Amino acid sequence: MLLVACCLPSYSLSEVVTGRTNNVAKDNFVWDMTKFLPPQAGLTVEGIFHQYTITKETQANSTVSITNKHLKADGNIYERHDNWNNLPSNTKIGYDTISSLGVLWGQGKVELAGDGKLSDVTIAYQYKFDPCFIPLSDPTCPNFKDALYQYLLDNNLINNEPSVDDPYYDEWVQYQLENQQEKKEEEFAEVEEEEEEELSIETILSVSGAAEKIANATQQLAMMQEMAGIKKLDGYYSASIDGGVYEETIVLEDKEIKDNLIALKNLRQDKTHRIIVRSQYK
Amino acid sequence: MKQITAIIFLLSTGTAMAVDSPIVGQVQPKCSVYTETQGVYGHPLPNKLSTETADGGVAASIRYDIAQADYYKARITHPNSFSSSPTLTDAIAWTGSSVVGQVSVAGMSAYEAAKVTYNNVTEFDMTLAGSTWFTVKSSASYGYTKSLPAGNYTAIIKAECIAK
Repeated sequence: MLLVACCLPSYSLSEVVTGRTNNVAKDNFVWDMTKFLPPQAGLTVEGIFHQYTITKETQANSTVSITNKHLKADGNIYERHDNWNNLPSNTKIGYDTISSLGVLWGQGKVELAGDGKLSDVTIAYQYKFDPCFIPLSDPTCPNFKDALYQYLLDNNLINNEPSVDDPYYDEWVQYQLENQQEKKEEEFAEVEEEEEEELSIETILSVSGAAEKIANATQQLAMMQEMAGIKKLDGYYSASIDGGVYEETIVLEDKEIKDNLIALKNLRQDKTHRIIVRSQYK
Repeated sequence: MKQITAIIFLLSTGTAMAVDSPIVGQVQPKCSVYTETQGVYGHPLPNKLSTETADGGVAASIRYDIAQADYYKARITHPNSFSSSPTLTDAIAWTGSSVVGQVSVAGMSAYEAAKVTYNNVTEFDMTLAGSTWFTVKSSASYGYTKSLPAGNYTAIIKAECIAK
């Protein structure tokens, strides 16, 4: 199991996702953030865009407020108050940069205090999140193998096969299969490589049926270069053969060699001669 | 030998005592101007070109980004001539306006009441930092019941950021 956990792939990269909600105040000036922000863990709100038109008498006092309640504390996590006292009607556009965890953002609201009317209100939240904030959420996350190893360690599954009910059982099985497949592929690749190398040498060195190649000057040059390769000729050059002198071991002493009279007598007879001649054609 | 050495030393000391040491600095723009919406002339009558929506035109929108409050003025000059047009044989009567459009700070709405207009120029005192959109309209009427020659017409709005 330890081996499996250590060999898990780490080929993917985690990219931060940024986005912007729709206009949260399109239908209502009070909104629930959970309906607009994605549920991803680790999501942060990076900014708030607002645009609205206020219609009022110039002398009237008005304040436009945009707020979000803090879910984990009293009060608001975000507040904007635009003072329109003694100002003419207008359309306001603005963006506030913020960096705050999305889970802290509660109910949002835009309201006008005083005289006047709000219209064409657009409020949108800019957010970002890391899909690999929880590395175990996706096997392509860079730290997935470490997280899985830690998970197995924490759950005492290092030397045991996890139960089928385990939430990461499928991943465990998947990597077992991938490991086996990878080993097979590696072995197959090695064999193929060796065969290709042999074939290549045979093709270069073979003469029969390679007339076209031999006639081609470029091919000839390639062949010569290939043959002249140090690696290929090295086997011949580096072979050592024990040298020395092979002395004559048979000594013939000068003697008189007598003729075999019996044999000569047989050869003189026609019958024997004929048998010998015919025997050549059998 | 000792004297020669002393003279050389004095000369070298004298050279090192006079050094030009420049002080460098760079001024970054604190006011930027952008065309957010390009104006388009509508042609409601044979002798009239107008950016009014009712006349089929589009008013230009120019954005001023002010990084430092109360240091700049926005000076906008609406057109009083065509930069390119077919040959015209009669005078053009020009009208136009520059008004505060959208604002990024509520207080910028007060720019409109405080603006100064002369000839075809409108100046706004940019007392607040942030972005302000100005809407510029233009209208051109040719002679009396005289139709404008066919062709392309272009007029230029001049939007400047003037240091106070």
